[in-house]
This record gives sequence, structure tokens and C-alpha cells, in this order.
Amino acid sequence: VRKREFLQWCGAGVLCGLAGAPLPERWRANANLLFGAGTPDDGLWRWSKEALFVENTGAGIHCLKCPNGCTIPDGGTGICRNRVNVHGTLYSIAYGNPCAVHVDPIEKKPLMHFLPGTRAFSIATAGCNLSCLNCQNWQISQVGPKETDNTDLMPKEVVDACVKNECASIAYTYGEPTTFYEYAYDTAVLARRRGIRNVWKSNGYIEEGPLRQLCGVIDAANIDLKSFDDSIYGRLNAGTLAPVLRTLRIFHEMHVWLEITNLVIPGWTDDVEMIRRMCDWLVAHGLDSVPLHFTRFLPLYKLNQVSPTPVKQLEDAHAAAVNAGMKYVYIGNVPGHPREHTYCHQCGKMILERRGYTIVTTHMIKGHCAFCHAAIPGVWSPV
Amino acid sequence: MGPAGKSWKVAALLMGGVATGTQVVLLREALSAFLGNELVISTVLFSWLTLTGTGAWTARYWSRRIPMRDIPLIVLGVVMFLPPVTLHVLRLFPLVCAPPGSLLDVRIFIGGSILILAPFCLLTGAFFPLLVRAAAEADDVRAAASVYAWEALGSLMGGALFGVLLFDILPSQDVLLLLSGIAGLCGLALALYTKRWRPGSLLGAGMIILAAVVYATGGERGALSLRYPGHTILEHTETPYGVLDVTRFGGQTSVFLNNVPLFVTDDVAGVEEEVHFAVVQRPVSPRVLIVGGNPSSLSREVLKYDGSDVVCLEENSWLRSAEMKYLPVAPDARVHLVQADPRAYMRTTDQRYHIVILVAPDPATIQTNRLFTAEALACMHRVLVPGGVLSVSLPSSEEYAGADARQLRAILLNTLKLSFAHVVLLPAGRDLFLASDGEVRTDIASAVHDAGIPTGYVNGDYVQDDLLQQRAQRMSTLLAVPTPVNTDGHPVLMLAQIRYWLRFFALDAMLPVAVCAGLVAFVLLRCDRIAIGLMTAGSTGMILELIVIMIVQVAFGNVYKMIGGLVAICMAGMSAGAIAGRRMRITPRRYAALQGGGALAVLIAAHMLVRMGETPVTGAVILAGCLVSGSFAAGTVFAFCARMRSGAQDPRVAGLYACDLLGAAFATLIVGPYLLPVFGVSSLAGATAVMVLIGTGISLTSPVWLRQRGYLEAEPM
Repeated sequence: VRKREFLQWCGAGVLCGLAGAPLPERWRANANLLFGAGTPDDGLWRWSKEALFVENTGAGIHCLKCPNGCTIPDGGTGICRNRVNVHGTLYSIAYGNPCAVHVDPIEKKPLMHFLPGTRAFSIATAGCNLSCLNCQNWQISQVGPKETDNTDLMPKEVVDACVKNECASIAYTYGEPTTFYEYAYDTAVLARRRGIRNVWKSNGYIEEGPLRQLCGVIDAANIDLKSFDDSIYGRLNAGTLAPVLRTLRIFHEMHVWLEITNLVIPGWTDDVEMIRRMCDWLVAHGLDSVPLHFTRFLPLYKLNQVSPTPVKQLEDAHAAAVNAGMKYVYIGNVPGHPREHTYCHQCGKMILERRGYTIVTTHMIKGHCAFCHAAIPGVWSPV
Repeated sequence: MGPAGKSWKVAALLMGGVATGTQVVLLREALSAFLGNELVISTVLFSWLTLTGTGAWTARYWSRRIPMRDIPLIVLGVVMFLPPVTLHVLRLFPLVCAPPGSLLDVRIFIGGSILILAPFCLLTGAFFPLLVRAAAEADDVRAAASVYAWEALGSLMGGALFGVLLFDILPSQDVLLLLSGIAGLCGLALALYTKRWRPGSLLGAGMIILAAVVYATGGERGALSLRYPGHTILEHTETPYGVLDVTRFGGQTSVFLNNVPLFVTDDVAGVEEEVHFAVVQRPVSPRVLIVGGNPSSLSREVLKYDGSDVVCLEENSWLRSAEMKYLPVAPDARVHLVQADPRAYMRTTDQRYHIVILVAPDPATIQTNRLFTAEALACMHRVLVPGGVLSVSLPSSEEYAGADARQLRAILLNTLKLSFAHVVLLPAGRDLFLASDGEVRTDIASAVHDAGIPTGYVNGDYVQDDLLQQRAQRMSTLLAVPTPVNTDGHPVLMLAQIRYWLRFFALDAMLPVAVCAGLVAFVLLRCDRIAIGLMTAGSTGMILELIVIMIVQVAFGNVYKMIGGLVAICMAGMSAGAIAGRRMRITPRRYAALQGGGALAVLIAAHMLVRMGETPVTGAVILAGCLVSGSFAAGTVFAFCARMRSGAQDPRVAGLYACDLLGAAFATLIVGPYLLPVFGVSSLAGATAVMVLIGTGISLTSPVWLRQRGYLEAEPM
């Protein structure tokens, strides 16, 4: 036997052995450790639903859902990992199979002026249309629906579960709801019929058409305005700024309750001058009453060599926003900070004393400051 | 032969010394620059050995074009110039190629590390056949074995001098500059002695340029200011545990180890979760042992419990000094600071605690994994009073845990269950595992309230018990799967952590194994049976070294300082083996006995893992004996093969040298991160013995051996 033949036979023997031999339990556990458990891939599955907002082109199907504008060839998948082209039809493959299902305080989104003290039934499917270096939920956002462990939960069951858990709203959150638009939209329609509010927690990276349709069924949104610099958006998030700004304007124009989150990351988004420009833009576009949350960054995912944001930087950002004319500015992820509370924009007095997710004292009467009677913007009662 | 004719020995000696010293230094730098885990360390070492082997292999084709008399000077010139330059580039590379503060993509890391190491490694590899030629022309009849022996001797000195003696005194950059200076001066002396004025002046000019470049770029300070823009650097120290930096920025003091923030001031939520989730379980006069973490903030929280007493244990003395300087613990008789290896402390202490809180880095290396093994957790169980509580944590998967994250947690959960009757996982800012033989409460906020502890975060306002319990219940269901248990000899948690880390880059963990398998197949098909035998010896030597390092790590804790010593021991054996092999009579039986001896050394070393706990000193001596005898066998086998290949003076033995290194490289890449965790140290040792049996068997069917003694006795070897 020549060396080459010998090696070939050895290789073939090992492969046959690996393929056919039933492994003992302990070995199987070890093999899982080495090879992973494997992911199913059977094309369409029962959680596939024809996608909205598409147009056929010669090169494939052009998805009009988000500014990525993927043209997906037959058999291909969009950047969001959530849309597949099967024989010329685009499907969302995350319809009714969320990977994360939890109950959260509404303040965790964060929404401070929307039904405070209530809980939101929160769902997410896998996939996202951005790739943030600091993604908190990268295990959800940076994979496709077939790679996650999912729960079978069709829209009606989501609404039932929300009622059962005594939640005032359903939040489409954690990952990016734009990627499971069809599922979220159908669920929101059913929820509305049962008097349940809908909350959109998103990066705001969505096209105008789908957004305007969505505004018909969404009650509140918290949008991450990740920075006010297109270059930072590109490097940190793999996105662009303009579509997010458009989303803010449309939500406001369509009277969906809106709050904005700005994560202050040292060395990336902590430039006070940039924050000032951002706030100037918000004020100039009539968004000065929109609550703005500056939240503390914690090292996560790939951005793990940056220290947590110093509290002083958050306070500097807060001061810059207030000076620019923003009326409701909060500091988040810093437990016990006085800027967790809600202060009346007119008289400056504390009207909602908060400790975490708890309202400790209230000085508001029917959405008005108890001291100066100024109307405080927000959705304060479920009715 | 005059003194000038022996200059190849100086060059070989210095090449070995500088290569080993540089390897030890650059490995630490790679750990720091690329946030090293076991796979990163293995990849760097794999690249190093493969490139060196490739250098030797390719040099066969061009080495004859170099004038013989210039060879030693060229070697010394390169050895002088490249190490500090490589270090500089290695430090700047992640800063340039990765977005600020972020992990370098593993693909860029692998490509980059190969590119950065290539000049130095390819050239040092190529010098082997060059020096063999120089030695052969200086009338050494067994040139290859001689160069191998001198190089190994240089490695011994390099490992001992730079890995052990100078390590505490000088930072990496200065170590490499010192090496450069020595090589440069030797080169100058040689040039003057042999009256080679032109290369001599080039060397002198090179030394001046190098010094000027290092001075002008500000050395490591330049890289630091890029790494921490806007921060005031309070401290920058190279420690055996990695590079320690303390900075001040925006009124916040941050402590970084290998560029990753360990802890900062004002981390109310993180500190309170770490302390109160555990201590509130036994709130009456608790005696608490905290392993790692920031003692000033953690102890402050513990002292909120009446009658409490806290011991803060830290093994990194450099970190402890920095803590004391920049984040001092408020003077209090109830707080005790201890500096010791946690496992050694818990094995020997008579103290018993109500609570043990382990604040440790993720188990991504054997070094960090040793605190998460069944043996370590049993030690922690030992120091607890009956019903005491152990708290261990992993990064958060509060909203969702993917398959790899679940596997990681399931392994830790199942390992904890070996020592504790009750284990719960509470997903919060981190995933906290609370283990006890007694009851464990999951209504943390209520427990804190009941104990009357004033807190800023761990209370009903931020931590809602029903929601926490819902998440805990869901996680508990997901984790109820059979997994292997993480032990010292079977570090499965480490592999799970590596798999989880590779998910950041959407890479499959099997990719390095596939690359390695492809290369092995290629090399096996290209080389002859003698070379296959030598590859087996190279792999066995490296497996032995890795097993010994692993056992020493498990037994004694951090081994960075010891690695230089272990390499020195290994090189001593290899050098002695190569020298002995130059003259020893070659017989198949002796060859097989040497190969078998290497395998036996691996088997004995693997067996010592369980013995180290009982008799550490005797165990260390036996391990050193294994290392010496195993490397002696490898050195002798190399000398045998070199003599058998094609005559003593043929520089084409470089091909054999390359096979020896490639065998070691393959073992490096797949043993530490893969085979050891999957099969365990005992099975690995057994598999090594089988590999040696097969490799030796194949080798002995070579025509050289089949011609038997007539051939061997007819030719001088």
C-alpha cells in the first residue's frame, strides 16, 4: 500500500466512523461542545409569511422596509437575516416565533412619560438591520431566526399572554422590530382591538412608507438616536443618520408618543459639542418636549475595551441638552441619580419622584403639574 | 579552524536566545493586544512555529546564494533589528485596525499576526540551514545536529534570562532592546574581529537608527495615548497577569487589565448585585470571602450587614498595589486584605465563611478556568460553613441566551451541582449562580428589605422579584440538559467560552481545526517517512510541554514567570539530546525507544495532574524530569533523523527542521483549545502514545531503516 492510499483509507475510515457510529451520551455531549448542536435549515417553515413593502427587479426582490434597501436574489437573505427570497417571493421568516418573551417595567424601555408604573409584555425575534459594536442583545440581533431558540407565539397568543400577565402594553423590543414588521404589525392591530397599547423600541432605521403605516397602530416609540454624526453611525452601527432623523420627525408628526435614547459612549458619542448640535436639531424640529434619555454605556459585545461612561459626562450632556432648550432630559443606567425624576419644564419642580421603576411621589393632576398647572406632555393614563 | 570559523556558534546561540526571549515577550503582548484566550495564544504560537518552519523549508532553495562568511553577521543583524520593531508593530496594529476600544476581528487578528510575525520568524527559520552550511564549511561533520544543539542552548539561556531573571525588572520593550543590544554588540565585535568593515558599519548604523526610532516614537507611551484618548494615565505596569493600566477620566477612576476594564468607581449596580444577591442569603453576622474584584467598593457593601467580617483575596499583587494606591479600602478592622492564590488559600485555610463571592474573569484560558473547575468549586465548598453560599457569575444573558451561551451556563451549573445541593441562576446585570447546600432565596429585593439593608440598586425599585424569578425559571428550564463537567483535566468550560467568543465574529469553532487538518494532510503527503517520524516527535514534545504548563497552572496559579523556566528546562533537554544524538549509534530499537520515551513522559506527566494536590514538590520534580527526558528524546530523534536523511553536512536537513516545527505547531493549535477540553488530559496522553506508535511504525518502514544496519554502518552519521 502506498502512503497516499494509506492516508486516503485512514481519512475515509475516520469520516465513515464519525458519520455512522452512534456516539455514547458522554461523547455526544463532547461532540456538541466541539461542533455545536447544529441549526435547522429547511427553507421556508411554518413561521414564514410573505413580506410587505417589496418590489420585483431583474436582480431579485428589492426590500423597501429599511434604508439598507437590500435587493435579494432567489435563495438569498437580507442584511437583517430575517427576509428570504424563495422562488421570487420575499418572506419574513420570523412570523410568530419570538426568541425573547418577557415582562418588563415600561421604564426599562425607557419610556418615562408613557403609562408610568405599568408593565409591557415584550417580544423580539432574531435579526437586525444594523450591526452595532456595542449591541446589548447581539445574541438576538446578529443571528437569524433559524439560529435562535424560539417560542411558538402567533399574534393572537401574544395578545392573550399580554392580558394574562396584566400588562398595559406590548413592546416590540430587544432586537429590531423593523425586521419582524409583519409580525409586529399584525399583533399591534389585534392588541389595539383589545385595548392594549403598542410600544415600538427601535433604532429608527426604517423607510417612510412602512413607518407611516405603522404609526396607525403604534402608541409610543422609543428611538435610539445613536449619535449625531454620519461617520460615527457608519463605524459604530453600520448605518446612517438621516433615516433616523426622518423617523423622529414622522413619529412626532403622526402623534405617536415619542422618547429618544442617546447612549453616551466614551470616545465615540460623548462629544458635548455634537450633543449640543443634536439637541439644537431636535429643538429646531419641534421635538423639544420629547423626553431625551442620556444613558450610561457599559462595555459589551465587541466594544469591551471602553470604560463605562463617567457620570460627569452624562451630567455634561444633560446640561448641554437643557441649555439647548430640551424640556425633559433624563440620565439612565445610573441608579439613584436625581435626573431619574421628572421635573416640570415650566416651574422646574419635581413632579414625579422616581426610584428605579417605582413612582415614589406624584405631584401631577391629570397630566398637569400640581404646582404651576402646566400641561406635562405624555400618555399618563391607560384610558 | 580559527575563532572566526566558530562564529556560527555565537550566531546560533544568540538566535536561539533572542527567538525564545522574543517569543515569551511577544506572546504576552499578543495576549494583551488581542484580548487573549487559549485559542489566541495557540494561534500566535502556531503562526510562530509554522512561519519558522516555512522559513527553514524555503531557505533550502536560496541559502546557497548567500556568501558563507556573511552568514553570522546577517543573522546577528536581523536578530538585533527585528524583535523591537515587531513589538512596536504588534502594539500599534490593533489600534490602527480595530475601531477604538473594540475587539479586533479574529480574521484580521489571524492575518495580522501572521504578517507581523512573518519577517522575524521566516528569517530565524531560514537561518537554520544557513548556519548549518556555515557549520559544515567550518568542518563540523554533524552540522545540523550541532546547530540544533547550539540553538537549543541559546533558547535555554534566553528562556532563563528573559523569562525568569529579567522579567520582574524590565518591561517588554526594554527586554527586547536589551536583546537587540547584545546581538548588535556581538555582531560588531565579530565584524571587527573578522575585519568585515562594511557589514560592521551597517550593523552600527542600524543600532543607532533603532535607538533613534524608539526614542522619537516615545515607545509604549505613544501606543498608550492612542489607546486611552483623553484619559490621564495614573499607572501602566506590565505584570505576569497582563498589562495593568489605571486611568482617570471624567472624574472616574478605571482599572484595566489587558485593555479591558476590570472595575471603575461609581459602579453602584454592578457592585451591589455582586454583593447583595449572595450576602443577603445569610444576612446575620456574615463572614464573607471575596475572591477578586474591587475590595474598596465590595467590602463597603458587605459592611452594611451587622456583625459582618470580610476577607478580600487577590492573587495579583500588582493589581492589589494599584487598588491600594488609587482605590484604597477605608480603614476598618472588619476588612482583611489577603494576597494569595485563591485555590492555595482555600486548600489550606482553617477559616470558614458564610459566603464566598468569586469575581473572576471569564474562563477563556486554563489560567482563568482553574477557578471554575469541579476541584476548585469543591475547595470553595470546603471553606463554607454548612449551608454557606457560593456566588459565581458570567456575563449577562438577561434577555436571551444563544446556544453557546446556554451551553456555557449549563456546564457551570452541572459542575456546581457536583458540590452543592442547590444551585440557582439569577439573570441580572451578570448571570449570578448561587450555590449552597441550604436554601437559596430568589426573592432578592424582599430579602434585602427583610434584612433592612440600605441599598441604591438591589431593592424592589430596580429589582422586581417576580420578573427576576420568571427569567430565572425560564433559564433553569433551558439549562436542564446533560453536559460534561468542567474539571482540571477536562476543561470543557474553557472550550465553551471560546465557542461563545467566536460567535462574536460569526465564526465556527471548528475552523482552526479544519485549517490544521488540511495543513497536516498537505505536509504528510509532501514529506517522507523519516520526516513523519520527526513530526511525531515534535508533536509529542509540544504536547508534553503544554500538559506540563497546564498542570503547573492548575497547581500553582499564574505561570507566566514559570514559562520561561519551563522553556529553559525543555531546551536544556533538547540541547543535551541533540548533542548526544550527534555521536550515538543509530539503531531502529534505539530510535523506537526514544520515541516511546517521549510518549511515556507524556503519560507520566498527565498522571501527575491528580498527584499534584497531594505532593506538589515531588510532583514538580517529576514533571521537570518528564520535561527533560521528553525533550531529550525529541532532541536525539532530531539528530538521528538529520544524520539519516542525506549525510551530515547537507543543509537540506532544513526540511526535517521544518517538519519538527510543524509537528509542534499542529499540536499547539489543536491541543490546548480543543483536544484537551474535549478528551481530557488522560485520553490526550493515551492518544499521544498511539500517535507515537503509528508515527514510529510508519517511520521504521522507511527505506533507510529497511536497508538496516549495512547502510547505517557503511555511512558516517
